[in-house]
Amino acid sequence: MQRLCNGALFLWLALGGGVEAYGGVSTHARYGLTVRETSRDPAGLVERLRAGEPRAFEELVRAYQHRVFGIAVRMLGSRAEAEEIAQEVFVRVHRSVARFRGDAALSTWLYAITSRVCLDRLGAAERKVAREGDDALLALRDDQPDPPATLERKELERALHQAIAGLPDERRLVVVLRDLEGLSYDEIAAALDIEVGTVKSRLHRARMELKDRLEKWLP
Amino acid sequence: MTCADVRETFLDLQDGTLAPDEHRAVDEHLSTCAACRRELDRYRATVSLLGRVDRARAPVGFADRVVGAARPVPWHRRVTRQLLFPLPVKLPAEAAAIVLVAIGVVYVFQKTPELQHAARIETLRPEREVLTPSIATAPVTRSADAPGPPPAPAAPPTSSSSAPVRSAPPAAPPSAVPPPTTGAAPSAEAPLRPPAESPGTSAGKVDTAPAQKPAKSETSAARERREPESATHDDLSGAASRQQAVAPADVPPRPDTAPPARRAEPPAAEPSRAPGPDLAKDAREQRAPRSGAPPDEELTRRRGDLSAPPSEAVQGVAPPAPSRLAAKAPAPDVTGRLSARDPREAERAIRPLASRHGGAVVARHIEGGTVVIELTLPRNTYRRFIADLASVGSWRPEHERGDLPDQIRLAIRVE
Repeated sequence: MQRLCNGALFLWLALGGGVEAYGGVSTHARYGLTVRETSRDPAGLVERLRAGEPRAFEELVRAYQHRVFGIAVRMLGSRAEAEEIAQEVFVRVHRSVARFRGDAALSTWLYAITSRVCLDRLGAAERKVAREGDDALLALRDDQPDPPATLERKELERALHQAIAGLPDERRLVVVLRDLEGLSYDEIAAALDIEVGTVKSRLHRARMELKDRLEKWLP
Repeated sequence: MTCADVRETFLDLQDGTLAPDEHRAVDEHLSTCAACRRELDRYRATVSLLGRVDRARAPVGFADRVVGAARPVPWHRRVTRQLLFPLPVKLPAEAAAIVLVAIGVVYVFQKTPELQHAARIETLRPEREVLTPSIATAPVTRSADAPGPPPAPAAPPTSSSSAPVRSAPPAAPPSAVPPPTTGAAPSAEAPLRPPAESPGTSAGKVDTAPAQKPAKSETSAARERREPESATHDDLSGAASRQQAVAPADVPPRPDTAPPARRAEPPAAEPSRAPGPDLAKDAREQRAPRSGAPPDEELTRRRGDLSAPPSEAVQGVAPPAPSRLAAKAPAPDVTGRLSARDPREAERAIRPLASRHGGAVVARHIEGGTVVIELTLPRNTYRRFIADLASVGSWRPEHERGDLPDQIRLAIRVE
């Protein structure tokens, strides 16, 4: 029954229903991608990828490179490491796309691989002691009516980055996927292979924790 | 509804997915609880702040790098990469490996006398190949092919064929200094001399021993007439030939003895210097029909030649024709017989024994069913070699030159 529900959800997402569920088009549009590109895979891309067409893989990389890299850099806190991870994700996709059954959207499958690779890297023993995060990885858009001064904004960006980096890995991943990358609950649930309720619970806890960490910057 | 209950609904409030009746209850609580209202405002501000975070962008060229990394690398590029990269590690390691292998090869070569001996033999073979055409083109050979002289021992036809040569300087001494010859002689002899070798260090050196040079000047007619005597000469017990063969090369020629050219080498020694008995046999078979005389007659003529006055012998010095037979067969300085239970075993033992004493086997041939081994030895190790030869078999010397040269040529008949 649960599988049937998931299949119906994927179908719904593929038809664009996920966008409305997330709350509108604006969140996706801010990434410079149309709703169609985010919720649906480019026409025939999966078939072309399965056929081993080199051009199809290049299209896939160009369509999702910023999203995959964005998730990785928010999760790992290092641009160099994020680039390495993102490249590994696409290489894995290239190797295993022939086995992709198409049960979920290609993008969901891509996020799932990205999340798994990031969590594996975060759990790796050498990474726990070796990597030092960058401070200037996060930038805020100046779309507020009264943007703060530059220095104040830099401090806010640094505080926000540190607050996100301080979250537990699983909560941070949900925040990144939902609030920073704009995925729907269902996409996140499918990518992480967890229930939607679990996604919401982790997201709520993460937001409450961030609210407490950013108390100085909040009204 | 408690504050905690209300704060658990913040996510649904934010998303607008709260059920209507629950939404109504939350609104009632918020209207009376300033703390929860403040928490909800801060929650929404946090979500808003997160929503302002700019999108991260992949580095420039990232897509191209990914596409390049996913593309399969051609096998030759993978092999090259594995062989050469990283350069600071692979190149020194490979260079060191090459140097080690080279050192190993040189070491093995130097520690293996058999290899060195084989290399020496290899260097000798081309010399013989070069020598053969020079014989064919020599003018003296053509004169020798002229109508055959009568087999009169007293008046060998060689004297008539080499008559112009008699006017040549009679110098042709059998010493270490090469006899004056015409221009063709040095050119024909040139391939015989390994330029880098020191005197008496190898078999190739023995080939260019002084004794061969006078012999080289012999006319082909004389050589051919003596050809059937090869076996006789090689038979170390032959008195006449031995007299000629073992005469000291560096002693000035005496008028009453055989001329230096004759002493240099009877032509029969050429087959004996050949690499094996096959070549000697071939040489005999090729020349025997040309002489057209029975061996006995040839022997008689030959002895007549040997007894000819020195002036006749000198006749052969001047012609430039290089005699392959004479040039390749210097006379042994020492001859003797080695009696052993197993001649084959003894023969095999002689070679390493000679190498141990700084010498080398230069020729092997069969005479009358017995093997004759010719080898060269430094004079200072000659006595020790003879002493050690007792371990191989019973050594009976037959002839030994009075003044032995630095490099002694030793003929051992293994019985």
